[in-house]
Amino acid sequence: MVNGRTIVVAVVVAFVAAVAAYRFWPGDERAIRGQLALVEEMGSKDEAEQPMDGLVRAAQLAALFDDPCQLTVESTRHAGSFSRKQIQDRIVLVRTSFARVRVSLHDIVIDRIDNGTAALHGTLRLSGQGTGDPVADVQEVRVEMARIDGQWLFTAVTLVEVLER
Amino acid sequence: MTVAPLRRFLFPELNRRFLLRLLLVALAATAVFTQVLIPLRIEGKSMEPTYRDGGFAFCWRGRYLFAEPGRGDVVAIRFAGQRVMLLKRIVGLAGDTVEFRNGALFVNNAMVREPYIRSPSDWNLAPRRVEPGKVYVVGDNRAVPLERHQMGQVERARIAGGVLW
Repeated sequence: MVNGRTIVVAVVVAFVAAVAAYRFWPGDERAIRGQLALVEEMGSKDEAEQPMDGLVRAAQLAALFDDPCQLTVESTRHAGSFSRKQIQDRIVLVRTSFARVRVSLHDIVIDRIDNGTAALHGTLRLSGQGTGDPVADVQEVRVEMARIDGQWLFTAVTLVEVLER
Repeated sequence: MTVAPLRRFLFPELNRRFLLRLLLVALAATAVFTQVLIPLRIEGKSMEPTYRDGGFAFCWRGRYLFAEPGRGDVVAIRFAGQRVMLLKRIVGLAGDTVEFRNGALFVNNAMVREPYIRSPSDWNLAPRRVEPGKVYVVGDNRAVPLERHQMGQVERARIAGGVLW
């Protein structure tokens, strides 16, 4: 005879299994979020980082971008297509300007995934120490990605202008 | 409080009634602190001295349900979501003209007294009109260079709420 407690336990187990399956089942969303986690990891820098490690991390970060990739900065009305090498050089330049920096992505929303392309938006946060005072910057980003050779790459990145001077 | 009730309060019996109460309290706390009163850990110095780096506040979501934002209000500006927000002070409303002359704020060509500003400022910003549906926000810390300060006009819809204290 099945009693009430058994039913409650079965419902809880089913719920936990469903949540675990949703979170850990391999799929496009999981792969995309994995690439975003790499952005956080490779973009961040601690004070003890050696220059060669910095170059390797910049190369790994640049490898997440399609070649070329469309970059747009709404606040400066700047838009252009940049090669992976140009992006890597820019990453090296920006990371060098920090003694330490933490890159984090928040509130990531995947707007659509279909036919090997995806669109998402979120909040990019940089916090760290420059040459003098602490540096903190927050930007809203819109990103387009495509699955190229089995890997999700950034094909377009836009820094959204939230505050317009 | 005598010893027995105190003991019951501190070490409650784990019965069905207690677990139900615990569940309701957890649900209510989750609803309140994610939708109504969002806890804010303040990072950065852009609102000093009003809000200190490392301080704590709440974003009160109901602040503008039945009232419009006004000049002088401190508001939380959301980006892609509510995990990362900017605290800023509204200095201009839609239709206003905002400018800075040698650190002094002018709205509609009249100088504004700002008792909350403690630091000297040399900001100069040409007049600009706030577009319909937007407000102009600035931080209280005017000692930082103008070009490094996140400020400007922002859509009214991006105001997540006021700051509780």
